[in-house]
Amino acid sequence: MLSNLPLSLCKAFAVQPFKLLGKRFCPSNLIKPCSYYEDLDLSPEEISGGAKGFAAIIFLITISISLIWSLGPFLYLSIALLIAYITHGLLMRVLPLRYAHERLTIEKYADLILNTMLLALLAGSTFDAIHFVAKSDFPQVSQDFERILYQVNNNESPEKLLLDYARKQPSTTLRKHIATLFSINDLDSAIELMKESTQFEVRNAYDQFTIELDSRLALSIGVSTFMPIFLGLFLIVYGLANSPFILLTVPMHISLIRFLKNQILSNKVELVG
Amino acid sequence: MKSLLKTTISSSSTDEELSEVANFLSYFADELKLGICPEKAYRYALGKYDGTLKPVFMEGARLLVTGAQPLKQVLMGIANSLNSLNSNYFLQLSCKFLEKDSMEAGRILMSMIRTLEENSSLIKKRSQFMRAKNLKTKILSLATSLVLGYIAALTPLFAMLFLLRQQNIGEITTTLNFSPLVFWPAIVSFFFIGILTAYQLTEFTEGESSWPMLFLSALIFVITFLLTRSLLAILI
Repeated sequence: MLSNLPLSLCKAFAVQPFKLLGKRFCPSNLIKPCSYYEDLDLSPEEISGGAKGFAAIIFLITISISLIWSLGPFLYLSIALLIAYITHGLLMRVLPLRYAHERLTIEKYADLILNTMLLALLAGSTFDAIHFVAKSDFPQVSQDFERILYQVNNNESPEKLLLDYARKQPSTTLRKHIATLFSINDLDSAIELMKESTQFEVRNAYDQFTIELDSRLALSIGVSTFMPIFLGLFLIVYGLANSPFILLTVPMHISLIRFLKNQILSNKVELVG
Repeated sequence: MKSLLKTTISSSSTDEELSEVANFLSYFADELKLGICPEKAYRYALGKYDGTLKPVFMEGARLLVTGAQPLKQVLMGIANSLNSLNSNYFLQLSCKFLEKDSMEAGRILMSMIRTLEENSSLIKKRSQFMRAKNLKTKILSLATSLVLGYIAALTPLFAMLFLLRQQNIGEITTTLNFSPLVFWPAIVSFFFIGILTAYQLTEFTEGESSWPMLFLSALIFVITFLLTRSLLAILI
């Protein structure tokens, strides 16, 4: 529920003038996530406009707070602009980030899912394939297939439902291959097809991160080893050597290291193997 | 399932258990492809397989023969006894395949194992890279506590710069005959920054923080601090 808070904020603040503004400046990376999460009932314009509306409110609040504290006009304008800009950026990123995370999660198991479906299709029917995947505990996909099973039980065509699912699928591998699965008759060509491209995307992303790791590590290690030295010297020369405030640098430094580890060195892509 | 989706580099180490399971399953799939029945194929595969999980699979074979359990139940039992979630998962999946068509299950298992092998070569490439960077990280983090120990010992000299800036000449002479107690906040925070940096930086390359590094960096800090202090006492 809490994870949907930014999105409900967007929905609440998407009032008319901002909605027009949002329609005018709507980034293209919002379109696919919005159509995928249709149960949220949000349009790209609403997110874009709502983010702008909320950022405007934040801007006004920050300005009024700064007026109470009577900071200089240039300072408070720039602080308020900065905070509003960051808020806008964060709100715009919520849905695309969730979409990307889900895409990579599905992509990690894409070839296992396709192989499972392939076997079930060769030995049984489309319904078997859906049932097999639904009962297999794949993250995200199994839940989606459970829902499809439910719809099939309500007298809808399983092929049509599967193709609909494939069309909206964030993972390119599943999108490409679910449709071709139905036209396969012999196993050898199917296995060849799977081998060609199933893990292509996720492997590429994984390999790219490995290549980037060198510079990422150098940056993180450099910052976390040289930062305390320079900071310490600076604080001492500025006469803080015997004030207890310098003790605050310890938690600051530790959180800096945690931040570097989580942001720069965190691996978004996983492989089964 | 959640632990499968860890997002840090710590989980990039190769899954030994999974590669053992894949190894066994590749023999199993080979036999299945020939059209042998699954129970027999299991025993043949066990004859060929000679890895660390042999006792586990042997126990499975015993249950199959003397305990009169079906192969599906045996495989599920083995899957539940394994630690690695990925291998547990993979065994359960192959077990489900057997329900359908054992001969084709063998062929699909083979193709899945090939995918796993390709993945694990990529994972190995990364872990090799991390191991290569491990030494660099350790040296740099120990060097940090060395330099910090040095700065901590020289704190009075640096603090003098502050007094000079304020043209507070009278206090300078008293600063030089310092006891570390005067500047304890700086020294204590340098000490903790030094050891905690060394402790946490190993997590970057090894995936987990190491206590030996913490003690080593503490030792280096103390030695450098004491050496520099005694040198300072001789010089001034």
